[in-house]
Amino acid sequence: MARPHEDAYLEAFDTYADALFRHASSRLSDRERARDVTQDTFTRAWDYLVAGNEIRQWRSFLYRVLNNLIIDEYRRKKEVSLDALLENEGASEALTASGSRRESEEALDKTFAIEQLRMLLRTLPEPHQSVLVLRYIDGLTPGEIAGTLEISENAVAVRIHRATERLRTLCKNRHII
Amino acid sequence: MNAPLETLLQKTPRETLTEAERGRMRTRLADYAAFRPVRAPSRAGATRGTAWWLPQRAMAFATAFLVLLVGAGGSAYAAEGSLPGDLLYPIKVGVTEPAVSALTPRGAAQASWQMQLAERRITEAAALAKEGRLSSNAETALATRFTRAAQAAAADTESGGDPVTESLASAEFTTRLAAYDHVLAQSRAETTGGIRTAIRVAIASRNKQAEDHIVAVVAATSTPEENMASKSRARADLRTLGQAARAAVRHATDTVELAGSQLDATTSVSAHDALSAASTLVRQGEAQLEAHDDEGATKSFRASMDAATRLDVFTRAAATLQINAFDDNASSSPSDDGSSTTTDEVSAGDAGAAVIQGVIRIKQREKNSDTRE
Repeated sequence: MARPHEDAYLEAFDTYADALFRHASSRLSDRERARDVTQDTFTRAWDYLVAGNEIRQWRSFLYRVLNNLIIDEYRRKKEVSLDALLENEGASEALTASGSRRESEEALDKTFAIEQLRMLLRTLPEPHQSVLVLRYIDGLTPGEIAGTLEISENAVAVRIHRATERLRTLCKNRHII
Repeated sequence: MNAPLETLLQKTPRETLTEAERGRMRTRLADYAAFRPVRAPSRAGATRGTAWWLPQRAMAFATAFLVLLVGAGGSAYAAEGSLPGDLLYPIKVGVTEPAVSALTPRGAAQASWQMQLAERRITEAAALAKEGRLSSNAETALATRFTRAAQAAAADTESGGDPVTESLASAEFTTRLAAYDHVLAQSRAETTGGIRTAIRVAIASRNKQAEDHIVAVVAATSTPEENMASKSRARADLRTLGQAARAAVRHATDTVELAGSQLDATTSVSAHDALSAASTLVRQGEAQLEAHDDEGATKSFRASMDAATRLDVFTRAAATLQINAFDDNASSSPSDDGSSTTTDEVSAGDAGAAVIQGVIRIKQREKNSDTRE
């Protein structure tokens, strides 16, 4: 018996699972949750097909579902605020306490800065966070992001600009850049 | 730090799924899809489609022509659900499966795939037997293919990766084989002797492999220094075992939930009882681990894994083959040696027991060493 839906479904998994997991793990601090959310994305997609719907653009569809699941995750866990995050993270104490100029000169600090940057990224409002992860970590073009978020390409460009500026300000305040 | 923000963002670390995580997720999703098939849309009202003007005979030819045009790819999809004796079965075992084997990396991923192939051959035998279509020739061919896949899985299991993970994968496979043997016994079919013999041979081979592995581990901890190192390793291994037990229970929970409406009331109750027993064993193991009762924790985690693995196989058999393999023993508590197998068909827990024995032997060596000191 032919199984076109199953085949398309597993092909979509083979094609997008890694990218979706990467996206989820960039936005959720817990690897296990990122894995669960990635799997849930695919089960939701299958449920959508079972309900008699059709998926024409798998990537856009899957990113949309993933994004919604991540938002649900934030709401459920009430992700900690930036201040709380910085207070709780041992590493950040060194950052806020010293803010040293030496950081900008040593290679090791680059790794530290990247880790701090990732932490700050997770504190941005959801629309800004998702657009930056899609652009710079997932490597999607503005056109592809527009299709994924179902907004105009112009709106994507504006959102990326605002998100970048916001993140830049946060980073400067903490001497990361 | 003068690097532009965009550059830093691009350099943030990217988490990736491991091969094992990817494989497990894919299997679960394939199961999910199999349990909840997409129903074909109603054909009512579709008779006036784009080719409504073609005479019926011409439509038939056109359809056949399209099938030919689709070629190997389409045939491969169609062949996936075929059984020995079906027209498309040779495509499944001669084209599709070898292609996947060739594309799957060696090591844990290949071992997992070969285990799936071995299980496929068993379920095909069970399905044919249930339909009264399992001829002697078909059974011999299935037994041969099963053995080939089981041997390939064994070879790839010992690929030089983490020995504990490999041992657990091997033990889980053995438990699954024994559970399938039980399913075949419950199918009441008279013509599954050949495949069951092949299963027993594979299990015996696995048990020998597990025992050899344990002997090697124990031999490697013969010096006091190595013995000291083995203490901390044993603790870490126990935590790995605990994680594996929790994962097995989660997987079994998924399977029971997915099977849902396809289970009759009796089977559903048995499945939930078995699930409850497996969960209890995990909690028991966690409490024992906390209390530094390592032997007790090892037994509980192993028993939980066995129970969850059997539950998974039995639930699949109930949902897809309509064979009720649950019995009073399926959800029973484990025996003292940690093996919860109680059927008289074949021992399900020998490989698991070998893992347990290995841990116990290492512990005994540690105790002896402590006494001498």
